[in-house]
Amino acid sequence: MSEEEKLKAALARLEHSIRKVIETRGYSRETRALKLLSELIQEQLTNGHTRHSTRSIR
Amino acid sequence: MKILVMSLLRLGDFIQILPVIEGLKQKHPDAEIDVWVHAPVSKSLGHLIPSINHWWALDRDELQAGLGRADLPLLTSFDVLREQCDEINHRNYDLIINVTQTRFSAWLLGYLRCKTKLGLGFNPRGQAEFHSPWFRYLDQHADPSVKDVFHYTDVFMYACDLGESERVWNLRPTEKGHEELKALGLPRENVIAVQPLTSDEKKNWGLERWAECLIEVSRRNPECHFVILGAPSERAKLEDLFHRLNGVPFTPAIVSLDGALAVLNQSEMLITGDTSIKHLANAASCQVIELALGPSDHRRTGIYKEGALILSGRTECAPCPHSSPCHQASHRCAENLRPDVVARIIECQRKNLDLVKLARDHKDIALRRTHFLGIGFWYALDLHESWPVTISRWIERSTWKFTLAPKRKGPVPAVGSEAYGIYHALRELHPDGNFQPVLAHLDFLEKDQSRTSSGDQEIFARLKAEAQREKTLDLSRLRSVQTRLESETQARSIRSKIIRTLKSHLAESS
Repeated sequence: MSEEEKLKAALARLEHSIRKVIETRGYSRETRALKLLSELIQEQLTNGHTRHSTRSIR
Repeated sequence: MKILVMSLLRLGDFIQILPVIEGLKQKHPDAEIDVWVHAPVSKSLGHLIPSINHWWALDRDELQAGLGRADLPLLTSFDVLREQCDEINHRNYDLIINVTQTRFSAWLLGYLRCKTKLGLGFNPRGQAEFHSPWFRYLDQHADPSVKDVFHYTDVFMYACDLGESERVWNLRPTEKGHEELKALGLPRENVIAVQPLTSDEKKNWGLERWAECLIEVSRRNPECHFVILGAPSERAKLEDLFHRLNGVPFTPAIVSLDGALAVLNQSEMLITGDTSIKHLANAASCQVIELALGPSDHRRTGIYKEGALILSGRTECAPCPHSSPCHQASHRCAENLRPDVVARIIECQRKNLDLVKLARDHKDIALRRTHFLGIGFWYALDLHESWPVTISRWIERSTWKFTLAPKRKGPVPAVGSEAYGIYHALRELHPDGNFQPVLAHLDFLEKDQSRTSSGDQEIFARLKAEAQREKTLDLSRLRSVQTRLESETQARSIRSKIIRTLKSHLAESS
């Protein structure tokens, strides 16, 4: 599994969890935590605009 | 006072906000200024910036590694992040400024505790809070197709109420950099630094074109010695360019940022793509020619130096989005920058020769010269742009400055000085002093202001009448229209005053 595929799988897992938490408990600390992590991945994937934020630098 | 600045993007983005850090230091001399950046940024720059008290490093790789593993609980990475957030919260910052403007950083800012926050943050319900009209402006102007926009450095300076402060890039030369420079054994004079590669293929000009251009520069200027800059990860790619430069005097410089800074300080000029080395040159003494290609948007992130040149190929698709591949059959913006023309531009810049004719002869190349205007913002003046267009943009930016500024008493005299500032900038940069076309354009703008004003009032009256007639008075919608109209009215009043005062200055002088 490539790095990108791993991140896509993790993103799908997170988004599913966010939906479940909102349905059962509404907005909570867990929702924020999950949202934060899903944004972290989206930034890194091609649909985010900080795609190269971890590229190797000097 | 304790201040934290969050900059969770790339190296160049962080270097761009150094004037904010210096401005804060000048405004609050006793303040401890900490930054929160990605781990590679703190590793590369930590020792170069003396004004920063403490570096918090966000290890994105570690967080992502935890998320990609099925054998770990889903919130493991969050626990790592929370630990860092808790440590940050224990520092009890008086002010946290988020200059990142991404959703991830907004969630983080929402999670942090602090009395005063600036920049995009999300509240617990995921609603955006900007904490300053300037950050809202940034959000509203995110689309690459906007007609005009302030440079990011200016936006952040104004957002932190530092708009009038001098822009200072304080990078400390190091012993390590000096040693790397010494090892290169460069000549003392006529050194031209070249940074051919960037992080994004679409921003690259192509090594073949670079070689062709440098060979031509060398033919026309045999005294020049090139130093080709690159990071260790770029070494293999650059070998191709080194082979092509047969017979051209050059030195490869695979150096650290310390070394790159030292090289730039010994070079008379840097020719570069849109990359962190370009931003580093803001702190160095060399002239700069930037090649802004693909997604590179010079208006927001261009070289922030007086008298630098920014070249780009004129295409309707530029600047393109960062993440998607080039949709053209070939890399048109790069192709429009012909190596022989770029070589002539480099020669003109070196020898201080007139570039306007060259700009007129090559309409497929946008040739811009950068200026820091006395009215408090950076502007890249297209040498092919008509003065009425330039003046319209300056007036618009000045209007934004007033409408986004914190409410102050008696703004009228300040508007007068702003108009005088525009007049002064125009006199300084206008080559032939013929202001008649500008005056005619200002007449047009003045008439347009009053026409739009009555149009807006009509729209509001019609909406109100419709709502009352249909007995569906949507108060929130009416209120939002009213707020928009009020801010439009305020902007129009400021714009009109600037136009009238500018007209009278120009009429007096002609």
